[in-house]
Amino acid sequence: MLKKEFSDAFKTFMECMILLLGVPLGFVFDKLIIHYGWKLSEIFHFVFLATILIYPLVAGLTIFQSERKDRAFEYLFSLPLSRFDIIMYKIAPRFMFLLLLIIVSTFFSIFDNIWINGFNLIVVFFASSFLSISVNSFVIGVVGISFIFSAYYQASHTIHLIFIDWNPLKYNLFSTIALLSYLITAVLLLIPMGMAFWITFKNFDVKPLKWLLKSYIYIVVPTVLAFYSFIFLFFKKFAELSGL
Amino acid sequence: MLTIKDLSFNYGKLKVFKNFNLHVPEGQVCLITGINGVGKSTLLRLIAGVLQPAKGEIILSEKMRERSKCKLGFISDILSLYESLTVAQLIDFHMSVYNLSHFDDSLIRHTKIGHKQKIKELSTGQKTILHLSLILSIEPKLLLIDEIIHSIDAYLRRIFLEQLIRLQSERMLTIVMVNLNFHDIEHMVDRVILLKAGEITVDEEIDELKAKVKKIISTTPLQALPILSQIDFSDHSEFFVYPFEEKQREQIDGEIVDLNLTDIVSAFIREEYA
Repeated sequence: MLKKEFSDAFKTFMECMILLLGVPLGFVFDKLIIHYGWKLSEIFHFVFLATILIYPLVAGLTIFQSERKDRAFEYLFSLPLSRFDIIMYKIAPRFMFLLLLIIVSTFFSIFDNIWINGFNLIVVFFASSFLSISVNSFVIGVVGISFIFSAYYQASHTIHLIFIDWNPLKYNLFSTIALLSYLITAVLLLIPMGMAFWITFKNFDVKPLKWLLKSYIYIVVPTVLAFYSFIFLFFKKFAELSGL
Repeated sequence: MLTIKDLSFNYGKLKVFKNFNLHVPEGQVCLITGINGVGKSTLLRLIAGVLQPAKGEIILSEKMRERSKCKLGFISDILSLYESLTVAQLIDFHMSVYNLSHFDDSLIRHTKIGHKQKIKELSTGQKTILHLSLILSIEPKLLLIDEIIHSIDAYLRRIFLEQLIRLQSERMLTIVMVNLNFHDIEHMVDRVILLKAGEITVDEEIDELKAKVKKIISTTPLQALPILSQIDFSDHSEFFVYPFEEKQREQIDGEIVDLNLTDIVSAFIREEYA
């Protein structure tokens, strides 16, 4: 099982890596047509950043892609594997490739703050994985994750600002408090999402999906709404501070 | 081997089973039949663990309890397999999941399946044979087969059934199968279960069932006999009687005909459609 999942994860990884072809293409495009004077390193930085942002989303949302495409859920569930085993086999190799990308990104200094950005990528991966079972369409999945991640990102900022008493002088994304804010927000988001995922997956069978979405409707939707309510509650203060 | 206790299962608002009970002893070949949509395939999927019951228990014997699904083989009617894999990759995957050191491809060798072929390139019959080979490789104690035997050509079907009979006699293999065509399997079935609206309406050993269901060809209406269904012709009628008792034989004005399993099940099903 692990071999197949590793192979599937590698395929997804390589599909995302195809974006890196944009580096030489961008370079040639600049040299031959637009003459903006882009440096190869600049193009690489931009394209690699796009790749690393896309991978966790794609890897998470497509963990059941082969079962969906091949109608192999029935075969998978008839194997002597517990639902927990299945999830572990699916998540582990994909997560490993994500860690590899994060490590590589530190070598190329893709992010200013690898701790928070790396952590955010992990949040995107798990949020996408937890949402994967509830969406048949990749596009809807991307829209859903964008919506959820926006809530997470804004809520993290707000919690960070609450921790520093809305004092802009104390605002430091490299601080432990900043990381702690992201951590708390991630826990508040991922635990309910993980619960909804597990409840759904534990009882997941070949029935139409709409019958299996109750836990998402009762757990994830209120959680995201609570996040947005929290953001709107402090939005005025946040806007004042940001000069909006 | 297999005990189902108070099983309930719904598809949304559609109730399929309510407090359903069944016991299948070790080594028995049990045929489940009934009209389309009665829940036959759903029952197999529930036993296989593909579907989760809303209520109730599905208990497998002590022999199977430890990693129970290791010794449970399920071949569904939709032939669910990883279609993007090649035959060799699927065999490799199957062997790794079941921790097998050897794969018996004797059934596959009878077909023209190439190990480098993708599963999606195989015909339904080839997929069936491949799936059967995968299942038989785990030496199952309980085999669940859902209406797929007839997608295989006559030659392969015979080979497959011979293998099943051999396994059944050598290893006391328990088989629960769902079928609507009984010609090939009649000789290996021990017990017949007829489902109607999620309940068992007939549950008989096959010999008993054959003794109890008779066709009576008569020109006059039959009195005081439990008639299951009847077919009228211009000069006579065929009455399907259940349960037929031997002591009634002398009172009947007409020809009493023994039936094969296909005719017996057809008689029950005809009654449901009537």
